[in-house]
Amino acid sequence: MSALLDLSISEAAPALRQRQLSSVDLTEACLARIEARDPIYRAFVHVAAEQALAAARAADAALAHGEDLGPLHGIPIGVKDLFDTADMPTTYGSDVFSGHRPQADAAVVARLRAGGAVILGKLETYEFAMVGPVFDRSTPPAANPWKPDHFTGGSSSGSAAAVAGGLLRPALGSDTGGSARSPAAYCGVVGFKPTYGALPLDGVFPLSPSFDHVGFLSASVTEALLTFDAISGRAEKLAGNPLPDLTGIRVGYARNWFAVDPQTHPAMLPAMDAAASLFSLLGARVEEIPLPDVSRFEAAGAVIIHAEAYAGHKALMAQHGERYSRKVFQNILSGLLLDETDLETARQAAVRLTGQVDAHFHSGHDVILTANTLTPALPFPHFQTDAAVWTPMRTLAFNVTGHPVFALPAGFHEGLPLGLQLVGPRHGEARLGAIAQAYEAATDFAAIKPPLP
Amino acid sequence: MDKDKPPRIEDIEAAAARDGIHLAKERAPFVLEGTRFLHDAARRNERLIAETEGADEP
Repeated sequence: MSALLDLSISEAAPALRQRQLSSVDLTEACLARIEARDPIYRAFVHVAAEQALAAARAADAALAHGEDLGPLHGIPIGVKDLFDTADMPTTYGSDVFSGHRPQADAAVVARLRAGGAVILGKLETYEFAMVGPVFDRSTPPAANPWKPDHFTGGSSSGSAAAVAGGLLRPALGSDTGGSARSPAAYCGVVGFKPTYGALPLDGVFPLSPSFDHVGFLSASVTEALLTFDAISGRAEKLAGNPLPDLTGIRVGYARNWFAVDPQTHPAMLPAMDAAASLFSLLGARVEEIPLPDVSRFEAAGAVIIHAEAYAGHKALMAQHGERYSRKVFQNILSGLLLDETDLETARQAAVRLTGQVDAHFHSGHDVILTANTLTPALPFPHFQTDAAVWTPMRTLAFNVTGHPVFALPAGFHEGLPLGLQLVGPRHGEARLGAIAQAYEAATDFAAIKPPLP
Repeated sequence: MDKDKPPRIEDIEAAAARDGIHLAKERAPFVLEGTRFLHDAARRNERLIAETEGADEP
């Protein structure tokens, strides 16, 4: 039965509609695999087996009556525990909200249900999507399926672990500074952050409203696009527009963002150059482009995130500070000396930096290629410190600019995945997705699975 | 607080007290490290704006 989980959504969807497969079959396969593997991965903080099977039976009944609710009808999915779910516990990854049950679903969760998706349960998140892994809260961090003594990245840690570990095909995540894309890289799956503002954030616990995005983790680019289509409410669909090849596509290669950084792992440079060469072999024209110094994006981004996070948490920390994990408490509190002038200056800097990235799209580049995380996943002991440990990555810049990004696998080093980012112009998700699909189809990374636990 | 100087531990203790947040002594040095990082980032943003004055449409 678990072989059903090797079916992509594109393969399962017609079988569901032709009654060759049922949503109950798919859901039972997911639940069996969760039971077998999740004690090691710790991706789920709550498995809603009964509700999922009831939703699957309803999805099958609707299809039997000729009712088709959309691309995720009957498909099992997991939801990051940062999203409100009215019928399941929602803790936002924090002991502060232990036992909390929201009154209503987050907007995108409601849209998933309306589209016939089967919600399997809630997936582990870094506390308030801020920093991790931490070891002083009641929920342990998720483990990386490639090497379970290594971290997953985050904050969408459970979402990435669940997809990489074969527990499900798509999962909802969020992305404020790379929270969907960096765990995608560390866990060797696809991550997708659409354009800022493309999807509603009602019912998603805010970290930094200027940068918060709904994000996606999935087994393939197409499945990320289908999940977006299922909840976007847009008439124009992203999936189903593949390009025959990349002839005429211009790729701006931001190699300067990682090639000279001493933090970049030696395996990254050949992996990234191989990806650039592959785009060229597929017919694209690849040109190195000089993006502004990445530290400028990070300075603007750090001030905005911390000023907004502190403003959002100030009252909660005054009341429940002792229930925050230590690193999250310290990190959010670090924003307490920033004032309105600092925030406004950072926002102005963000506008100017965004303009400098936009200039490359205006000059004819279809996508920008650059690194994602600069290293493979690190072992857990690396994080057993009193201070937060920041792993080097190139994700925050595109929360500053709001551009859509696909995080894609780019190879392996000693059994751990490496990742890249493909960035498109704002609201250019359809073309970006088609280019990402072409790259993915030309690699075999998606076919390589973690060792069985 | 003087923005030309890096934050001091007294600054964060006073700000936390102002906002009614208990800051344990052993955590204060880590918060201070973070505030100094953000202080530097804020000054970098000011320099970026100064360097690109009049360049809102690059």
